[in-house]
Order: sequence, then C-alpha cells, then structure tokens
Amino acid sequence: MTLMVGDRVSFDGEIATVRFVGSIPNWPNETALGVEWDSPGRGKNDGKLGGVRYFQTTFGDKSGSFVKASKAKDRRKSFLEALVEKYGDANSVSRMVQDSVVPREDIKLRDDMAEYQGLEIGSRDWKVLGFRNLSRITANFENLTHISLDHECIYTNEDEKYGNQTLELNKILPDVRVLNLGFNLIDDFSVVHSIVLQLNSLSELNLNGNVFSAFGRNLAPLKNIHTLSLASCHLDETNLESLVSVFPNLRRLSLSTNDVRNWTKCLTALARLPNLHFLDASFNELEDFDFETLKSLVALEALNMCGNRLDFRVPLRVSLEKIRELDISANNIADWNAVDNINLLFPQLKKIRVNNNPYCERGEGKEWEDELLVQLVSRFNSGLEILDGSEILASLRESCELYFIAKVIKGEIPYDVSLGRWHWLEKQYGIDKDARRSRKPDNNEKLFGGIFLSVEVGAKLLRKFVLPECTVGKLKGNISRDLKQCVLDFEIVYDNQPAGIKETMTNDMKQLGFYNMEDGTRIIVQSKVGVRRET
Amino acid sequence: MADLSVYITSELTSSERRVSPQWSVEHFKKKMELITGIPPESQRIWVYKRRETNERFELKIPEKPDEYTFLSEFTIVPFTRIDIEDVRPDSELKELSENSSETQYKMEDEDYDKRSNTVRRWKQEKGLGRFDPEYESRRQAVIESNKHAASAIKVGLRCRILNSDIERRGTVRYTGIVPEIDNEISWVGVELDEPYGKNNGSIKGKRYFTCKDGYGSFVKAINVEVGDFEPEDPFDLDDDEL
Amino acid sequence: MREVLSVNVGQAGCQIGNACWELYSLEHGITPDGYLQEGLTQPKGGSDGFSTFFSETGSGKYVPRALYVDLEPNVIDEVRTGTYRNLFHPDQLISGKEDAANNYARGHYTVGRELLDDILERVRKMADQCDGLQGFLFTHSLGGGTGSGLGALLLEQFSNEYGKKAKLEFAVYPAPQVATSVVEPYNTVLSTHMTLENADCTFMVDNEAIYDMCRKNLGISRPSLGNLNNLIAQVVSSVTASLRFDGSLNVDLNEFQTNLVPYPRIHFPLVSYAPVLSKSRSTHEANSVQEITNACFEPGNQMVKCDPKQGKYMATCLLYRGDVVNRDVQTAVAHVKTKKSVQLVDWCPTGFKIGICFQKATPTPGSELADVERNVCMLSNTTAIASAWNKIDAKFDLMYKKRAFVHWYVSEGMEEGEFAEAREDLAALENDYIELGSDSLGDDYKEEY
Repeated sequence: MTLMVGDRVSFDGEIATVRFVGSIPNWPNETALGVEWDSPGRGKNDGKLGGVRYFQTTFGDKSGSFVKASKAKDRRKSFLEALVEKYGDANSVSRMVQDSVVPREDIKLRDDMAEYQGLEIGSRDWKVLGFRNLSRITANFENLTHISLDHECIYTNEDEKYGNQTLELNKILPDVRVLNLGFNLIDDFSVVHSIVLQLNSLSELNLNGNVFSAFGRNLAPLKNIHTLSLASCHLDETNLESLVSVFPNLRRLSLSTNDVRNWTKCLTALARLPNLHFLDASFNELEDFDFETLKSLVALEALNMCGNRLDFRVPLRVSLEKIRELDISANNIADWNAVDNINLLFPQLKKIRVNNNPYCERGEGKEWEDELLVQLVSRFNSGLEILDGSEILASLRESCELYFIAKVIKGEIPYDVSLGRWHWLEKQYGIDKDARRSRKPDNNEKLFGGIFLSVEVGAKLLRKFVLPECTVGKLKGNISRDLKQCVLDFEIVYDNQPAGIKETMTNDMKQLGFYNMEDGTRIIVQSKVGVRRET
Repeated sequence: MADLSVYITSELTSSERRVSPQWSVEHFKKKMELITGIPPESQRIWVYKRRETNERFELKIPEKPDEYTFLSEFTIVPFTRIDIEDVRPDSELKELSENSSETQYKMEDEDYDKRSNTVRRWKQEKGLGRFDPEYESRRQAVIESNKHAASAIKVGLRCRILNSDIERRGTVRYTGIVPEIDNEISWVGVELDEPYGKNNGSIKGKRYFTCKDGYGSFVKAINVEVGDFEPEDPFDLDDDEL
Repeated sequence: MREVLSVNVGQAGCQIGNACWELYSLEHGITPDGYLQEGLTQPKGGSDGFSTFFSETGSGKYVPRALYVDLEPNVIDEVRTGTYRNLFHPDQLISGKEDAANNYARGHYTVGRELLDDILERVRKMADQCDGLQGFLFTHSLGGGTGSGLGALLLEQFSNEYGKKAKLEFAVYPAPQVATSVVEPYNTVLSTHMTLENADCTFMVDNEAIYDMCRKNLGISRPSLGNLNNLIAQVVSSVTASLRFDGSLNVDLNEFQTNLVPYPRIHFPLVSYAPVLSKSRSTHEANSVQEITNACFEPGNQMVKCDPKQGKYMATCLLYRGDVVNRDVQTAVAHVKTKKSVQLVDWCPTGFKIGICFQKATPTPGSELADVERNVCMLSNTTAIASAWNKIDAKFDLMYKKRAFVHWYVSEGMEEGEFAEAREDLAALENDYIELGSDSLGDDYKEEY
C-alpha cells in the first residue's frame, strides 16, 4: 500500500493524516511517514525533527509524529468490502453477483459457525445461540435497517475487489435508515455523498471522527437526512458551511468537538436550515458564543453546550424563547448571577443540565446539595420541569420557591429583585412588596370572624366555636374527641340549607374560611363504620 | 385527603413511605414502630418543614393525646423528611448498627456434612470436583506439568508471565514449592521490571527473595516463559515513532 | 405457543411491573389502552414471541399476561387510575385492604393467606387461556412484608400447582448501606429460605447499585424510585427480549436455568447491563460490542454490589440486543478470555452462552437513558454473590441474638423455630458457595500471589 500526502491512515485504530512521505536520517533504510494525529496531544512534535522541518502541524505542536511506513498495517477497505465483511456471507455476495457485481476470487467469506471452533474459555466451550439466524438475517442486506461501519478503515467507495463498477446501493441496501461511518479514513466528503445519495431510506448519518480535506462541489442535496453527527471532524466554519448546505432538511446536528473559530459565520450557515431543531455544540472550548445569531435558527428547540468554557458573567441583551432544552453542564458558571443571566437568556426552558460547573463546588454535603436545589429551582422560571435529570414536582417547586423568597426577604440570599422572575414569584405567592406580610386572601376566600357551628350527631346537637383558619381536619379531630370515636369512622357534611348546598367535607387541609359559613351553620356527622381501612 | 409520600428516617433506616393525613399520631407511631423498631412511647417525631432545610417541628400538640391528634393538623409537605428519634438512652437499637462479624453464625463443617441437599452432597453423588475418581490423577497431572515447566526455569533467567493480557517481563528469583500457598505446585517467584506484581518477594511473612514493593509475584511455572526477553521501556514506547 | 405469566407482588414488585409493561408495550407497538399503534398491522417483533407476553382479545385489543398483587390498595389503585388503566383487565389487579406492615409473617401467614384463594383462582384462569404455559416471572422485593411473605407463599403454591413450570424472579435485594426497615434482614432471610427450593432462577437487583448508576452514569441529580424502576425495567426487558421477539434467538424460560444454574440452590446469577449512558453524552461514548462487553465486567455496571474478582464464575450468559454481528462478539469474547480477573469453577457442569436479539432496546420516553444501537445484559453465576448473603446474614444475627422484634412475627402465628431454620439454610447456602469455589484444578485460570 502506497500512502501519499493527504491520505488518512490508521495505526491500531488511531487515525492520522499523512503530511510527509520520504526518508529521514533516523531510518535510512525505511520510508518514513510524517503524520498528524486526529487527537492533538497524541503526537511528539510539530513536524520538525532534528532541526529540520518536514511538515507543519495544524492542530497544535504535539500532534505530529514520524512513523515507519511499514507499521501502517491497519487494512484500508472500501465501503462495500467493510459491509460484506461485517454483515455478509456467501449468499449476500451471490445476491450482489446477480446484481451484476462480480467479486474477485481472493475474497474469502467465512462460514460463521466455523469461526467459533476454538472459542473457549478455559476448558469450557461457549455455546453460541442465534448466530446462524442472525447471520441469515443480516447477510440478507435487504433486512438491514441500521448499519454500523465505524472504525473500519473505510477510505473509498470505489471497489476494486468487486470489479470497480458503480454499485447500485439502493438495490443492495433498500431499507437502511441509520448509517454510522464514524472514524473511517475517507478524506473526500464526496465519497460519503455518493454513498448516501443512493440510500433512499437513509435518514440518520454519523460521520464522527472523519477529517475531510475535500468537500466536493455542486453536490446534490441529501434531502432525506434529518440527523447528522459531525463530532470530532476538525471542521472550521468554512468547510462546515459547505457541508451543511448539502443537508437542507436537517433536524438534529452535532458539531461537538470541532475547530470552528467564527461561530457567527457558522450559525449564519445553520440559519439556512429551516427545520434545525437540535444543535449539539458541546466540547468546543467556547469562551463566548454568538447567541444573537443563534436566534436566527428559527426552529431550534434544544441546545447542547456541555463542556465549553462559557461563564455567562455578562447579561446578554437577547432572549431565546424557543429553546426548551439546554445542556450547559461542565462550563465555567461560577456564581448565581450567571445562573440568573442564563434564565434571562433562556426564559422558556423545560429541561436543563447545569451540573458540573464551578458554582457547584462552593460547598459540599447534603445541606449544600439542598441549597443548590432550592436556588436552581427558584432562579429558573417555573416552566422548568426537569433539572439535571430529575423531575421537579409541583410540591417541591413550591417548597423551594417559598423558602427562597423567605431567604431573599430576610436578605440571606442576595437576589436582584428588579428581575422579572422576582415579580413573578411575588405575584405567585402574594408577597406584599413593602409590608412583606404573608399571603393575601384569594378572591374567592370568604372571611368570617369566630362563629358557632351547630354540629348534629344523630339526635344530639353540639355547639362548636371555630375560627376561619381552622381546617376541616381539626374540626373533625375536635368532634372525634367529644364523641370518643376515631376520626376515620365518621365524615362531616356541610349543610347550608338557605344556599341549597350540601357537601361532604373531605379535604382535611381545607380551611373553614373557604366555606360560606355563619353562626348556626349546620354540620352533620355521619357514621362511616364498615369502610375503615385498618386499625 | 390523598395520601402523601414522605421520607421516613431513623438511626437505622431510611425509606420512602406513604402516609395518610387521616391517621392519628398514635396510629402513625404504631406504623413507625414496624419500620424503625422504636416503640411508640420511645418515639420523638420530627417533621422537617421542607425537604431542604433543617427547620423542623415536633409531631405533637402539647396537652393533647396522640390518639386524638391527627396528621392533618400539621403542615406536612410531600416528600419532606420525617425523622423518628429514639429517646431511650440505652436503646437496644444502638447495638444493631454495630458492624461486627464476630457474632455471625457460621455453620460447622460437620453440620454442613449432615445436611441433605447441599452442594457438597451433590458433588459427592455426581462425582464432581475432588469426588471425581479422576480428580486425583488430573491434579497430579497439573502438578507434574508445573514441575516439568519448572525444571527449565532457573533463578536469574529472564522471563515473561503469560497469565494476563498485558506483557509483563522480569527475572526469575525463586522456583519451587511455596508452602504458604500450597504444598504441591511448583511456583516461580519473579521480580518484574515494572511494578505490576503483588508483593516484595515475601509471602505471608516468609521471604523468598527481595525486591521493591509491588515488583514481586509468585505464579505457576506453566505460566512462565523463560527466554531472551529484554526489559521494555514504558516511557519510550518504541523507536518506531519519533 | 409458550406463554409466560408475569406476577408482580407488593409495592416494589408492582411498580417495577408498571415500568416493565410500559416498556414492553412500547417495544411491541402497543398503545397504553392495548391497541396497535397507528400504522401497524401487527405487533412488532413477530407474533410468536409477542404472544408469550400478551394475549389478544377478539376485538383487536392486546392484554398483558400479568397479575398485580398487593395487600394494600394504594399502588394498585394507581394502576387502576393511571395511564395504563385500560391495558389491564380489572381481574388482573388484586389488592387487599390491610398492608403487611413490613412483616414477612403477615404477608406469608395471616393477611396474605386471606388473598391466596383469590389469587390462585385468577392465575388458574389466566393459565387456562394459555396453549402451553412455560412459566412465571415474578417481580418482588425481599425486604418488604408483602413482597417477601406473599411472594414466597405464591412461589410455594405455584410449585405445588404448576409443578415443573419455570419460575424466575427479579428480586429487589436490600441495599447494603441503608435499610428501609429494621426487620428487612429477617424478611429477606425468611423469604429466601422459602424460595430456595421453589424458584428456579433469581435475578437480584439492589436499589443502591441502581441509584449509583442513575447518578454516575445518567447524571440524574436526585434519582427517584421512578428513575430506578425505569432502569430495572430495561434490564428485565433485555432478559425477556429473547422470549418476546421472534427471530435471531429463541430462548425458553427453562434455558436460563439449564445454562446458568449448576445446582438448584445456586440460582442467583449476577446481572450486569451496559451501556448505561445518558442522552447528553452519547455522542462521545464509543459503544462497540467490545466496549459494552468489557463494561459488564466493571462493578459499576452490576445490579448487585459485590466483587466478581474475588469469586469464580460457574456460568455466563451474554445477551446482546441490536446491531451486533458475529465477528464483533467473537473479538469481544476472545478479549474476555484473556482477562486475568475472570476465574472459573472448572469442574462445574454448566456453560457459557451468547445470545442475540436483533431488535434493539427502546428507552422509555422521558428517561435519561440514551437511545443506543446495541446493548448487552450479562447474567453470570459467580460465587462472588455469596457476599450479598453474607452481609444480610450478619445483619440478621445482630438482631436475632437478642430476639429483637421476633415477637412481631410470633404474634402473627409464626413459630420461632422458623427463624433458626431459615438462618441455618442460609448458612448452608454460604457453605455451598465455598464448596463451589474449591477443588479447582488450577490449570484453567491464572492464580497469582
């Protein structure tokens, strides 16, 4: 195999780009390859060796190495070769033969069970179930809906072994919906394009870990693809722009771990995707981000910014009302002010991840965790349903918010009360701005002073003095003591004859003030024996 | 009124439970005894105002018997914590949190022998393990193969160990029986080049050779290959990459 | 047809049951009220497999072959009024009025026995509707009163009535650090003693292990019982996938026992599951067959906390789902082979087995679990699990030497002798595991000192 500058190459699964081919003094009898690893810290130099510059790395000064060409043993494959090796058997090839593809004779196809001879642990054989069937299913490529050909050293779609003809992939793989071509050696995107163009059913494409040096020109749009993953592709804004223009109908896009410098340009390109619903920009070493341009992504609802260096120290003048889901974990969020800024920026969140940020490290233990919970629940708008993977129940929300309000009023939690969020909290809980007394009565609350109720127990009549704050439960407890009867054994009925209302008072927490009561209002005690649940 | 879920905690327990506001405190305490093991008269019940604070109040109304006090008379927030304190200074429960294995019951070997339906019985009946008539000869074969392997392994030779997926090289420091392990197998004590061993040349207090901690290991002779194995330098992975 | 009846007992059992049936319905394309999802002409996964877990009524409605049993009404009332209320027939939901008060004796003798006839009657009805009932799948906890007491009672009764039908259980084992009630060790030991003879295979799940997975792997800050049960359901679903889906692999319930259980008492395989991966990180985690297989040997992926490096394996089943091919499995298994930590009981007559289900797993909507192309569930019978029994036995002894709380059980009509008898049995079980670990010839694995 002769490698040339620009080729992609794999050493024990680690991928690099060839930057230099030739000889170096260290290995006079060998061909040396100067390579640049995809993982920037993986190498030993920047292309300079013994004072001589052979090439210049682009991903940093430790991403280059020199290796012996003879060590590049990972076998490079064509797409079809990889497909047949992984999923195929003799039949799948013969089916393709019918489709006018003639395999060369040196392709050895395995009998799947034969390979299991000698597969043993200690003295024990592994009994293998289902493989024959599985092979039968997968080997008939028409059955395949998901294909994972990642880490397979695929570098081309042209196939010498199968006669180097243009293959009709749409006939061979009519039903494939999901294709993973991650971490292969394809250097020209038009190779991927020509494969995908033929797969009519394909909607999800994973190209993670492929570093393209050519992107093709005037490529036909791939309209069926709605999910595309381009993580770790060393893409910059320019080649990204040309790439995404090929996928006009994307709904989900991952740009995690890339080399974009100018996000404004990148986002402007993404704004041309009318359906883009989810964007993953995680692990991009972002220190700031152009949220204003992000707003032009009209369909965007979910955003993953995990693993960047955003601090949100400065409030932004924009707000992204459409975003419902946000992952901002593992950034540089250092204080509560930043959290408030995030809330302003994303006012309509339903789901957020904010863990793993510096502010989380400011305390430890159970109490600190509880404080974190109170503050996060209270500082984000109340539409938030899921915080760091945990559901926020209404009762928890209320309890957090009340506690938060109390602490803010007491001055124990510094909080900017000019924020809209605070106005909302005040309104929600009826906080009086200056007096800061407790709740205001609800509109339908009918207040009375102390009154006497007439409590009928069979023929007996009791008079009970009650206050409006008294709950139904308390009244029941009071009656139960007089009757020496368990509270579970009877129920009480509110009987307002003048108003024509007669209802069983079942809500023990309800205050009597909510009923329209006056002196002498009748309460009837009814026995409930027989429905007691347990003693 | 609907039941609510709360966290019940005590010194020994913690669990999510449902309680009904209609319960009397007396009834609640009886239930809590079954969970926490604390009898009602020794319970002091603390209700945390909110899940996330340490503000708490006692589930008790002064002068009012528990029998006639109902949970609905208190503000209990769903998913809050209710802690049951054991007021007995000499509570027997305190001893239950000990972590001693001394008191643990172990069955004597002869009692185990007497039982039917045990693994040992099964091994005896089916002739498995040491009850296999061929077990002894197989075992001897293993001893022999180790002895045979050991005969070529001499102290001072370079070697590598074959029992794991990482390449470990070293120098033979001891061969022979190691009574601290067993009395039959031929073991080889190796001083490894890298600290991927188990000891410093001594085993259960008996010293067979001396090397730095973590550089020594005893492996069966069949797992040792002697030969011209140069030490590998882990920091210079290979000369093939510059 | 080879039908399987699921029996969910007690609060934990019923809640896990809910999570499982939600998942099964999704995986087979059944709506919450029991009809086919729009666009489907038949349930997903093939009719043979599907009908092992669902029955079809004349009207095109599908009903789970499941029974919910609880001594108190709350949890089952939630099923009766919840999203899946129309999926079940009212006869499948049995609840009493009085709870078991965390007391095995109440679940097993007094309160539980009152419901017994009713339950057996309904099971008979459901069994009558089967062409060839292959067995039962129980979910229950060992620490609570209903799960331990009534669960054991039902297993015992089913043994009498259904003889050789397979009885598998998923049992929630008390978490090692935090007890949910003081008498948990009693309930666990008593229940295990009863079921040692009656269950064919018990997969244990310890809530603490699952909780840690939810926190560490799924990044859930405060895992709720709901999060835990969703994850447990994924595991149960992986184990039952081979029964529910036609095609690549068709396993019988009995096969679990045949392959995993060398001797009837030793029927507690350790369950591991991989990958447990959160949605937000799924792009970054490679997820090859080899990686997920290796992950199964990591303690962080186990459903019970114990250290398999300290034990010896008797049998292992690797159940893969999704896009998995022979070559990859072969490479992965070859790698397992070289693992120094995998030591075997070499005289033991059980096997190692690999199974594949072509249908990939479906995460429940709203769950944090990533939608992955493949996953694996490893069932391994290892002597390491003995440490779980050892821990619970120690806790039992601490209480029993003082006879603490024994009167609660005696007052429900239980004889005190049953405590000693149960404890003896568990001690013998610990000895059984020691006996299993001995007599290795030593040519097979890689001892090092």
